Amino acid sequence: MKVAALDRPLVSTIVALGGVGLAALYSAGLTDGISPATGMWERQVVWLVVGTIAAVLAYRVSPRLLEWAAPAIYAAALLLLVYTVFFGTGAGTAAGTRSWIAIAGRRIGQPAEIAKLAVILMLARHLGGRREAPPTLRDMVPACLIAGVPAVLVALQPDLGSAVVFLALLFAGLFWVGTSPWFMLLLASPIISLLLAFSVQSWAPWIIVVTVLLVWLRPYVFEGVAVWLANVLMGVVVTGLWQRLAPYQQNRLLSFLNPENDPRATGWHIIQSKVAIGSGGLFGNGFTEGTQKRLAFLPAQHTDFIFSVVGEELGFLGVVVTISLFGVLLMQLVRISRRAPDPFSSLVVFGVAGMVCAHVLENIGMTVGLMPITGIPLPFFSYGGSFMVTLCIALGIVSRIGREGRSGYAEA
Amino acid sequence: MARPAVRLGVIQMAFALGFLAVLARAAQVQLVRGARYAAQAEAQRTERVTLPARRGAIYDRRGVPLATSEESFHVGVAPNELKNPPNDARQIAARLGLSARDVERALRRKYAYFHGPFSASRVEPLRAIKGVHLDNEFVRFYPDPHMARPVLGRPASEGRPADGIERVLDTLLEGRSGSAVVLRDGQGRRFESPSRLDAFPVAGNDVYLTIDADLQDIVERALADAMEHYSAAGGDVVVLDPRTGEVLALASRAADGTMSSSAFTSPFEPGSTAKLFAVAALLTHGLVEPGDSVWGEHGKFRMGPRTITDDHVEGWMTLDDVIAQSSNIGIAKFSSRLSREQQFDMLRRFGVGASTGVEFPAESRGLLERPDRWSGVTGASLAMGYEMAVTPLQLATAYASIANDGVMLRPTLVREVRSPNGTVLYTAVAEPVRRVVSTEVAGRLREMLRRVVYEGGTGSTAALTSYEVAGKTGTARRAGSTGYVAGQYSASFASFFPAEHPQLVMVIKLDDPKGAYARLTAAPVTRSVLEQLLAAQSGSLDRGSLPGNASAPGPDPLLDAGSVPFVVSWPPAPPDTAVVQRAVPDVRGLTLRAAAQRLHQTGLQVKVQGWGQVQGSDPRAGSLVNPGSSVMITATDVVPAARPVPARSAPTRAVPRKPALARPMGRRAR
Repeated sequence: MKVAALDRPLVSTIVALGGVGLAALYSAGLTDGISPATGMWERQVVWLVVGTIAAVLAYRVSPRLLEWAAPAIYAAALLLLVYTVFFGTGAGTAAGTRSWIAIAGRRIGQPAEIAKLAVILMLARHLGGRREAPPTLRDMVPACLIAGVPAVLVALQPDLGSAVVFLALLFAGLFWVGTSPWFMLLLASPIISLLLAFSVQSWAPWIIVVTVLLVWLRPYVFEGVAVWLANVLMGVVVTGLWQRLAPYQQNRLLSFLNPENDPRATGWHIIQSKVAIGSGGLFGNGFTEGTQKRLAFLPAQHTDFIFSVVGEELGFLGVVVTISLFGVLLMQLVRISRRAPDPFSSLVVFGVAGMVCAHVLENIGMTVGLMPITGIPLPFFSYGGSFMVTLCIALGIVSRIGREGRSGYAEA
Repeated sequence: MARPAVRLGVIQMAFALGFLAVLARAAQVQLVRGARYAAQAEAQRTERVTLPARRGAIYDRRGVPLATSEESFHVGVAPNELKNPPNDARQIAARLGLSARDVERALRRKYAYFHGPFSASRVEPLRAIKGVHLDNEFVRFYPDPHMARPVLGRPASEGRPADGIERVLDTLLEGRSGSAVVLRDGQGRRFESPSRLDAFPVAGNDVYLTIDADLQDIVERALADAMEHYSAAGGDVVVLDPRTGEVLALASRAADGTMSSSAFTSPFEPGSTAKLFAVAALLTHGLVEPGDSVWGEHGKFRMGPRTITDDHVEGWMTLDDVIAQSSNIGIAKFSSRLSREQQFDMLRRFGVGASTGVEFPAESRGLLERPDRWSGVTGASLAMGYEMAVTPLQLATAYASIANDGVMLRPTLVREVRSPNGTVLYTAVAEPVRRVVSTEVAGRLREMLRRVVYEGGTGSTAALTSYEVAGKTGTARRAGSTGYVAGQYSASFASFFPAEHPQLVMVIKLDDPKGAYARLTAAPVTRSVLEQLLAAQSGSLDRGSLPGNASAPGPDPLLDAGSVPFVVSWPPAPPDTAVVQRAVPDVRGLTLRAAAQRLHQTGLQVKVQGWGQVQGSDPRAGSLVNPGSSVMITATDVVPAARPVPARSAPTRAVPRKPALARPMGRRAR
């Protein structure tokens, strides 16, 4: 492996994010009372070392080998998820869920994270192996299954945040192979229908738009009927059933779908996060000096809410810098994806970009009160071994692809 | 991959839009609303705490604590802050006196809280353990939870105390609480480090009452015994020092045995004890010549629409005879010489219908109609103590003015107020209200009262063998909601001790006692209280100025019984001037306190040797001794369990000087 062959802008962005992330985790552990965040940065260093080794190994693996092995990796990931649904254990703030695989009582990892990488690879192999973008809705079904099965399995844990990431990966892949945006809209329409169904005023125009789209795009009759019925089902039937539930039943269902959404604690967590970020102002309270962090007002400040620590201590400037770094990283990934030597490689890199983007927007959006609370980590910042190692492997693969893209097909 | 350039543009736009949305939101939170959130954060993490002030203590006149405030602590433990959990848990359990298993179980939770409350000496060593948080609080503690309860009152858990001295002197007692700002975390734990002390708490002032704890104890016990013995429906005892107006003891009890404040709040028709007021008016206005007498009508006399009766059929009576025999007919005939205004004026002078001004909330004024509303027989009724009502305290105050040579003093409960550092802020001085009668008239009235007890009068059952007592009985019909209740009486006895230069004025009133007549109920209780007081060597009596033994001790049917003075034989035995010896009661096996009470009740003084259970006495049980002589009781040195056990050969320990004061630990009132 030649260091000179590495993609320098990519690597320096990754190193910068890794450094800032580790510093934020270090600060999150400095509290006045004893907190679960104390000393976590040291363990994160261990995971970084493990992740770096894994990244180097991944860098050495040819994309061809990955493409060949993708079904096996995907199958293994599915098996792990099935196992987790039945035998998983809870952890920390979400003790009621089954997200972890444990051996002899020791938790060793969250399969959902590694499954994200498996889905990226499998989707890339499936979509990249085709000559053209799926021309009909029916042609999208295999791709939907590749992302949908793990999404359902993860949602059963239940981990709604990760399930949403799988759907993001699906749409990223479909988009990148050039699927018609209108078909993607039809594919997403049942979910949009569900989201809009809370009021007739918004749902009624929506069903008209769907109908017009169907008439205009003229898919197969069967497809058109299926999409329309799915919209009606989501918008009318599910909503109708939902409204028949008593409030406490609704809460139970919501809590089941999303354990982070504890009706008593959620509001408090969001308020505390906003208070911490808001009190940072323009320049912040100074690195390690955040009082809300120090006095244990922030929930899960070393994992889900670590961005609140950044906001409180480094202020709006720190937020801008952090988000810019993620933006730069995404630009690098898109660039590498664009220059990738083959469709599979391109789709893998774009999938990684989609994963990073989904995590960043979901996590930061949650801390500033734009997104619902889901427990998915902020890349490079949140403490967590599984995701850190997954991220490192993904970036190792990306680096390899980047090198091959730069040197052209000749070397491959 | 059709038109990749377009897709690239779209995806870059999408990323940019997503990130810009987040950035815009961050700007809104941090820049636009930043100041508000910062203020909210400040408010969340700082807390203004109130530092409680110690409430002033209440003592009796000689410094015996009646109500104190003790600092006590609640203990909170944050298990994850402990340095050495198993060891710390053991230490916490040992200091708090809890079982190690319970503490260990409690520490498995996120935060363990031991409410206690625990005393300062217990928790002090725990301060050093990191993770232990102490919450201090002042708990009101009554060493004897029953003593003088209505007088003291109780502080309320919230707001102002409802009654008693605790209420009247609340502003003096409460002190001023301080405040500080402390840092607090999301779990509600407080951090003391950067706390800001705004104001130190200032402890309240200490109040010394005029109450004498010894006397109060005797009086309360005597009242309880008397009510039980006579099956009375209620009772009051008031003891005043006539020279100062100080209330030395005051007890009231309801039928169910609870303490009440009826001595302040419940007026009653006094009956014959009020005859003295009419006599005072007659003497003041010179309406009775020395030899004047009236005809007793053989015990039945029609006066207008009413028939007045006397139990003792009398012939011709002088005014002194009327008081000594408590003749209704006699006082009715004599009082007809008074004008309404003269009678009304004298009653007002004695304080009937006006509050005494004692430091007690909601004191009753009693009842007295204006002369223009009187009926034709009201004058006679008032002379006999009906158609008016006084509280036991008012009656005692009126008699105290006779004892004090005719000058009425305001009765008072507060002797001294001291600031926490000991500076005396207030000292009670005798506060004259008015001259009620002239010195000569007061002397005459006292002489009449002495005759009630010693010359065959109705108060002979109150007579002491050692010192002279003066007093007046009162047996009045009790009024119900629809008029007088047949067969129900209130028996009262108002007395001075000693008869010459009185040091104590005592009013005892029993509601509906079995035996009805005051001379059979209230008067012997008075004697019992006085005997116990003399035996207990109470400091409230100035023994140096007590006159010598009474010249002729009155008849005493009780002396033969030799022990419980409440047992009254009927009819009373004929007068007997000999001093009858009494048998020493058997006090073996009793506690020191019980034995001392028993001997005091017998009128014997007590000396104590040892500690614990009484083994024997010298002279032995059953020996005949003179009343007032002293008995030595010997006790084993069995030591109460809580104290370290001394070696068996340890010398017998000296015992508190006054066993009557060695009270059991009281219940904590909050």
